[in-house]
Amino acid sequence: MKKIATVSLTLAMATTLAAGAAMAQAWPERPIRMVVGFGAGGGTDIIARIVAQPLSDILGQPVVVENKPGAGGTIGADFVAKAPKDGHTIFMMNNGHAVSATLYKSLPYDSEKSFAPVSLVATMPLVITANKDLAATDGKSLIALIKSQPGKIRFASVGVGSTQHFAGLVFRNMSGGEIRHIPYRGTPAAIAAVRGGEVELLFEVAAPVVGQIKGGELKALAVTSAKRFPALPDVPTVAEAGLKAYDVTTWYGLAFPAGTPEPIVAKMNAAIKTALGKPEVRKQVEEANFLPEISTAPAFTAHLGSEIKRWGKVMQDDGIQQQ
Amino acid sequence: MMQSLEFFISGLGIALQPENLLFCFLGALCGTLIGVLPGIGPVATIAMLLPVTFYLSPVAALIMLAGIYYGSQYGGSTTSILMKVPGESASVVTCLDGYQMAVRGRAGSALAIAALGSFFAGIVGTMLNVLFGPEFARIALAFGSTEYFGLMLLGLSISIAMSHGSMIGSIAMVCLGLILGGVGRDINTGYGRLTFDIPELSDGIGFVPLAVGLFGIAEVMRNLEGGEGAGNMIKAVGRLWPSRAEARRAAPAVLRGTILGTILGILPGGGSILAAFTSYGLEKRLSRRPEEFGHGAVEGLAGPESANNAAAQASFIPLLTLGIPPNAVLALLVGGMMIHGIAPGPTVMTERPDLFWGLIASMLLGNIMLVIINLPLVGIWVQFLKVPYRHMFPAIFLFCCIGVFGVNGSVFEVFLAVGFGLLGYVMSKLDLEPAPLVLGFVLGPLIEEHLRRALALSDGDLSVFATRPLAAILIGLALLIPCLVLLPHLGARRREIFQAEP
Repeated sequence: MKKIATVSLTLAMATTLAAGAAMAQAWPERPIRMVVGFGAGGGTDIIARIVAQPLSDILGQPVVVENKPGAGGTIGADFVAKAPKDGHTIFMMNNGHAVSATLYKSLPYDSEKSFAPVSLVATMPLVITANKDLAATDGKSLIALIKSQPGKIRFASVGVGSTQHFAGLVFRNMSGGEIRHIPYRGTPAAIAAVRGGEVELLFEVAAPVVGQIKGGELKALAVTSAKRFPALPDVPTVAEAGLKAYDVTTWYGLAFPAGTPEPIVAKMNAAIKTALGKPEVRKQVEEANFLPEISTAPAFTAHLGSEIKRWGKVMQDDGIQQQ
Repeated sequence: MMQSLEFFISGLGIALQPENLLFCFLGALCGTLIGVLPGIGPVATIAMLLPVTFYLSPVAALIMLAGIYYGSQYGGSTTSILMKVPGESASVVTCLDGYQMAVRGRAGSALAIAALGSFFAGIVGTMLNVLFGPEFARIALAFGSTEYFGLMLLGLSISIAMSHGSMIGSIAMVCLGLILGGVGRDINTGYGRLTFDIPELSDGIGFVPLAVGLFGIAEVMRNLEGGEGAGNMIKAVGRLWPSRAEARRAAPAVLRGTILGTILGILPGGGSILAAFTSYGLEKRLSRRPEEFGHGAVEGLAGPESANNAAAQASFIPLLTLGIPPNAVLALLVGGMMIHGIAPGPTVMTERPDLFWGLIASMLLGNIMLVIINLPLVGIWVQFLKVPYRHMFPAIFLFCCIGVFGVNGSVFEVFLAVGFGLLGYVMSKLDLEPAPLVLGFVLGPLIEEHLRRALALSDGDLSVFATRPLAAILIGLALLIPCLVLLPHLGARRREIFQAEP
């Protein structure tokens, strides 16, 4: 009896594996939906649309971007976590996914275990920008200014629990200068507030502020990544201002639901590599102010895990309540 | 200013290139169509078409996307007038008197006034953009949280002034709107409020399910209760075009609506819905026949319809001159620019004059195309009214559901819309109006957000509301207007009392 059970179990496993391999052989059989947990026109949506195009050409099936906005991207994530594990649904993950892992008291999925990360696609630094009349020119003079007027300097972000907010908190904790957080509803409102002088500083991802900086309407004081940002080569990093370990970079990567056959993950990883290897795709990614970045599946998995831990700790240290 | 005109003429040259002209027409046509379908607004459509613009030149792409936006403002009035289903958010106000005109057999005239008023507002709004765009944009930056708080408060107090039912009833509806508007994540703390741990509610209740439910679905229920041919159903059409008397009443309202819409459209976050509501309140105060409002007053249709169109045109000013999109639709346009490698910012006007002036000039052409598309359609839409209601109502209900689903692809929101339909039905039984509720719903969260931010910025010092002159004036007006409304009431009552005593 036991033997029969073992045999049938082995058989079942073999069939599953064989089925997986067969599935991978035929994959993709239908159009692939690429789910974005945010509205169209935002950073995550733009990078998704830029890579969806070449991926369609390479895979021979249309890759269709589908926006499922809401609840900080968790509605889209949940949709993918519960989608069939046949490689026809993929999630454009971003740093917000790592933040929401601890920000929300309960999520209908596991931020790590419900997904099979495939590869990073791009990264983007944040820029600390200021009203053009602020008496600081770089990270060093900013820290000095903040320390000379404790609690007077305020920074805008796109909301509580956003990557931008956390970048400001990490900056405050590492520099020891007291700055106050003022949340805004969305990037445009925050940019308008800093330009109008309502608030002094803005922590924002690079893409929406590069135009403002080049037009001389916002002053870039520092970029938050470890290395300088090619689109703003004259702007020093926060690390150059003396906060050696400071590095906040937002990232974008693709992930299947967990349980998607290994060969499909490998095939997709290769397709992403090919896509981002094309000069015209790289150019488009860079023109939208992203930095193309590819990785192996295990490296992306590890990155996701470490980001989740990191933001969880920032939340705990700053006493940010779970939602 | 002369220089602007020169640039504008060179922009016309760009907009008149065959490719750009074609995409301007496609955008205007597409906008009209999606404006007609309830719920499926410009946000959903532009989002769907964004990837297509990959293959176009940046100028053609933006011209088309912009055409969808202002085109939808034209089309949005159609279903509001014919079925009381707001095609997009700003046309909620059009439902009030536009639908009542249709009920009184003047559907054709209402549709024509809406189209002509929108046309006038579109053309004048565009020319104001050309002449004063950058100057206007600077005003927008002077508006901080304190000023916004004053402006929104003013909007709310006008909404109470404009309602025609009982004062207690409309205050109750405003309060219900404020509560519904408070649902969702509090942006200052990140806590969920009234969300009952339903993830779909964590970003708040959507405007489309609320408006489509309260107006469209509730109206279907009301019409069905009396059986065919009973109650509020639209009568067959009398004359197709506005009479001279109607035109004379509409003209000044159109002019005022256009000016109001242009001013409010520039302010980020205020937008066309505030313009439409304020125009309605203004027309009612200025009218010699305020009792007609809510029963098919021509001014109550012409003013707000022009205001929301002028606001749609004006909202391009902060986008193009400051690089700051004032609403969700234009934020999508920014996405469209970024896909083409154009960083939105203050330099678009100087670095890409072809794009800037080509786009503005295309709006002039687009508005002309829109009126040509829309006027002949009036005759066709009116034919629909001859279809018996028993065939129409399932279609209207289906359109409502598809429209709501189309916004976020969420089934939850469809159920929400049906729930609001029931609420709207109960409200109509109790003689309570949905309009103050909608305004409370829209303005409540904005008032709260700006009040709290103003106080966070001033470190809790309340005196900022008195010491910033613009804010002080707006708050003063907000307090004054309810008094002005109450005064004639008191006066009238006093006269009655005096008359009662022999």
